[in-house]
This record gives sequence, C-alpha cells and structure tokens, in this order.
Amino acid sequence: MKNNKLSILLRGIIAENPVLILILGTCPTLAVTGNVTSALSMGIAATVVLICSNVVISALRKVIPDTVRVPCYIVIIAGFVTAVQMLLQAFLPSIYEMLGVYLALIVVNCIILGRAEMFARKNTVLDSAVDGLGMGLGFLLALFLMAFIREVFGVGTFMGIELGFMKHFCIPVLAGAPGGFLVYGILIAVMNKLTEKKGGVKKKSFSCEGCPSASVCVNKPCLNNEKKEEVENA
Amino acid sequence: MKNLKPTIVLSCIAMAVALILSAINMVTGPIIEEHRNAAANSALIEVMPEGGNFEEIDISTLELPEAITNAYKETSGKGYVFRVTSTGYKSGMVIMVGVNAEGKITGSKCLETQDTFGKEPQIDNSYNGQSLADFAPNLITGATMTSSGYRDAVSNALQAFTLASGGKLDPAIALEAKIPELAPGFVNPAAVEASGSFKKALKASNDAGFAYIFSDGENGFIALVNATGGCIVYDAEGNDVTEAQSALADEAKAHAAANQKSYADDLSAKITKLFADATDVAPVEISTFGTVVSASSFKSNGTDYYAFYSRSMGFHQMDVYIVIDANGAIAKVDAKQYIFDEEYFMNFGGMDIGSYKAGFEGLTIETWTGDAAVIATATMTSNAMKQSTEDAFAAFNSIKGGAQ
Repeated sequence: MKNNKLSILLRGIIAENPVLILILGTCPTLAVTGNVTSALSMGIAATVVLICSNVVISALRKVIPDTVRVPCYIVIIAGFVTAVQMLLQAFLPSIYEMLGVYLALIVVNCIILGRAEMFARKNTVLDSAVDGLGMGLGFLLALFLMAFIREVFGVGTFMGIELGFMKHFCIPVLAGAPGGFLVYGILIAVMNKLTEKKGGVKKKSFSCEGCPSASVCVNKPCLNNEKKEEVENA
Repeated sequence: MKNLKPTIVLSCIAMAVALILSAINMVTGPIIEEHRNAAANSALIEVMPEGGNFEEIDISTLELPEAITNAYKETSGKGYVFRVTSTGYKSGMVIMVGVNAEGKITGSKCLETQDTFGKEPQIDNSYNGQSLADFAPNLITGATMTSSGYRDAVSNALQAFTLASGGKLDPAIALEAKIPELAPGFVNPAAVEASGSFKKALKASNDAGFAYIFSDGENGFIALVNATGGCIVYDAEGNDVTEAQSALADEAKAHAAANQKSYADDLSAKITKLFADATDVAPVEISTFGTVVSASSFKSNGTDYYAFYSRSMGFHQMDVYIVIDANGAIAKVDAKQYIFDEEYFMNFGGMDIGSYKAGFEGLTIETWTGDAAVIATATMTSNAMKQSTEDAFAAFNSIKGGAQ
C-alpha cells in the first residue's frame, strides 16, 4: 500500500486515533487527564518517545531477528522512556512530580509498542517518524480534549488558571475517576459517530476484521483462517 | 550458529541503550541529586532559614542527649538542625530545632505529637535567638505538659549543639540531672531564686531539702542540704568533696537554713502524742538525702528513741512518722492522712489500721523486707510507706555513725 506522508500523519490524528479509535493507552489517558498541564506534558513525553522509538526500530528493522523483536522493542522503548524521565527529573522536576508513576509506565504504553509492531518494523525510517508524530499528536490531542473538558467543566480552571465564570458551574464528578470514564466514553461515542459518517472504520463484526488495526495487523493468517471458515460454512 | 544471532542482537541493543543512558545520567545525575537535596532540605530550612545544604552527621560517636535522633550539619558551617523526641502530655513528640553557629536557636517546629494543640503553637518562636546561657523556658498555662515537652526538646538540642560542635557542656547541666540519684528523697526539685556563688538553687517539693549547683563553666559542684541541715558537696564525678569545698557547703547551709520550712515542732507534737512521757526531745542532724524532713531524739520510760518525719510521695503527698529505738527496731509508726484513715482501710476488707501499724513494730533494718508496708491494691501508698521506712532506717544509721 502506498502511503504519502500527509495521510500517514493525519491517520494517526483522526482515522486511527490511538486513544479514541484504537482504544490504546487507556491507563495514562484516564490517569493524567485531570488537568490540562499534566495531559499536555504526558502527551509530549509520549510523542517524543514514540517518534524516537519508531525511528530506531525502523532503522534496525533488518537487524532485529523476528524471534526476539518484542524484547528488543521493549529495551529500546524503555531506554527512551528512562532518558526522558531523567531529563524531566533534572530540568522540569515539577512535571516529573506531576506525572509520577505514569511517566515510567510509558514503557508499557500499548500505543508505542503497538506502533513498533504494526508500523515501524515494516516501513522506512522517515515514514515511521511521521507515523510516530501522527500517533503522538493523536494521543496528545485526545488527552488535551479530555483534560480540557474535565478541568474546565469539572474544576473551573484551565492549566491551573481560575476561570471566574466557570467557577460557579463546575461539575465536580468530572474531575474524579468516574468523570474520567464518563468523558472517555462520550468522546469515543462522538468519534465513532463522526468516522461512521465519513465512511471510516466499519465495525461489522467482532472478529479480527472489525478491528480498526486489521489493515496493518500482522496476524494475517488469523484473518485468512476466519475467511476460510466463513467460506466453508457457506 | 543460527540461534546465536538473536542473542547477540538483543545483547548489543541492551548494551547500546545502557551506554546512552549512562551518558545521559552523567549529565542529569548531579542536577537530580541537587533537586533531591533541596527537597530534603526544605524541612530543615524551615527551622534554619539561612541554611543552604545540609548533611546528616553520624551521632553514634558523639555522646549527645538520648532524645536526639538525627543531626544535620549545615555544610557551610552555619549550624546544626536536630530532630529531637520529647514527651509532652503523651510521648511521641518530634521537634526539629535549628541552632546556628553561635549556639542560638534559629527556629523550631513540632513535626509530630499525640497531644492536641490548642493553646500552644506548633511552632514556638519564643525560643528563637536563645542560647544555652540565656535559655528561658516558655511554659504555657493550660498546656504545661506539652510546653514542657517542647522546652525539653529545645534544651536538648542546645546541649547537643554544644557537644556536636566540639564543645563541653557546662557541668551544671549534668549535675542537675544527677539530683534524683544523689538525693532520691527530693521530690520534683524546682528552681528557686539562687544567690551568692550558686548558679542554680533547687528546692524539693516535699521540703526534704535543697540542691545548689555551682559551676564556673569548667568545674562544677553540687551541694545538697537536707531538711535537718546535713550537707554534702559532690563534684562532677560524684565524689564527696565536702571538706575541700567547705566554703560552698557553708554557703549552701546558710541559704537552706533561711529557706527551709521547719517540721521540728510538728514532729515534737507527734512524739508527745505517741509517747505521753517523752522527755528531752531534741532535733538531730542527719546526713542522708531521703524523704526525712525532720529527726529528733527523745527519752521515754528511761529508753532512748529517735523519731523521723518522712514526706514521701504516694498517690498524694504523705506525712509519715517512724519511731526507732536505740537498738534500731521500729517502736511506732503513724501517718497523718490517707492510709490511716479508718475509712480508707474500710475499702480493703480484712485489713485493720491497728494491725497494719503493729506490723512494722519490732522490725529492724535486717528484718525489714518491705512486706509490712504492703496494702493490696494501693501500690502507690504502699511504696511510699516502704520508702519512708527505709529512709528512716538510713537516717537512723547516719545518726549512729553506721553506713548510710
């Protein structure tokens, strides 16, 4: 399949938005969207790690043997996360404090390993970098959107700045954990509605085919088997 | 060989990542360490605002007061911060105290306490600027215990500072701490106005005597004067130096004589009550520092007796009279209140006042075991009776010239 750079970029932001369509990286999404500042910091940190790991994994895609690819990816990703962590701790300690354990958990963020597995190992370095940027921005925007709703309507502040007007109309539950789930669910629903109209991902079945990642999924055999089964059954 | 490739690739990647990370760590490590110190220091800076960096010092080699749990030294030599435990109304107070290089308190703060803070502040700034020399306790009415705990902590920190900075403590402090050991009968000695050569004078709350502390910063002496005028001077090592320091002894005696409440009349009245035919009642000087506040010799029916008036601390202040004959056997025991109230004894079925008193009679220091003093379920009172009796025996021995 031919990918021009712009479409790769946009795909990450909308059509295959990691948070709202692929439903990846749910844990940090719910955890850090209580306020806009931490959401943005998390988004940027994850984007940086994503781009870097995509580039390196793509560059090494011919070197890394298939059998040990996951450990290799994890080591590379963990390396970048640790580097980001150390740099933040040294130069932006307040953000380091704010993100807490979720910063270290970027290592096991599904988005990053997912992109390594789905994209970087099969595409050129440049394409992978663009994919990383797109996915990162998609993650960042989704986090920002959620955090914006939760902070502005839940607490009545924006990036810690008090909004005089909103102060009287805040919905405290949005700022708490239940509010996180609620906003997340609503955003996914809205996103589904939007992509449906544009003829985006169609979820006809709950099998592999219905998966938004089906087009890039490595488990092609699985998909083929299912098709075979369908034919046989017919 | 085919199986080797994945291993080598993974190892190489891991090593490369480790190398890169160690390079980053070389840059960020010192900065992170600085941040960490700053965070740890913030609690210390609160009690020593002029401080910068602090490092914890090993206090196991310094003989600091036991209450000091941690000591931090300001790295540029501006002073020390001590973490001190103390006991207020309840135990478990933790107080941070900063002491600057001149030995002055820079700040203090109570970090933990089981007491409820009401009247007393959690941060008592009244101590700021004080040093060991001009230390003035700030006791708050209505929160005496808590503020005493605070005072003790601050005082301990000041002492710790002196020791930690290589100084020597004024012997007066150690001497004052020795009072309970040297004069076990002095209940709650409290400071009274000192005069002359003495740095401090303390009076026992049961009127058993006075303690006078002399110190020139190097050498220190403590002069103990009991209620009968007996005096002993000890040096900092606890040696009896009464003869060498007779001037101090005389001064102490003079002060005590002028301030001591006399129980001699009280005792004579009791003697005549117990022994109707008592004659030649005369006060005697004893040289023990127990709870005895007055001693007299007298004659009755041709025999010599010694009477001792002891004020020991039971559940309340007690007034106990013990009469010992010339052979050292108890002739009579009586007390003013509490345990000899008929009503009190009624509470302890089967005990009667007459037999309790009679239980003491005839006992000598050799046959005394303390059992006679026991009143079941009245432990405090029993112990006070026991102490009074033992103090009387000791006092008797001192009169007879025997061992104390």
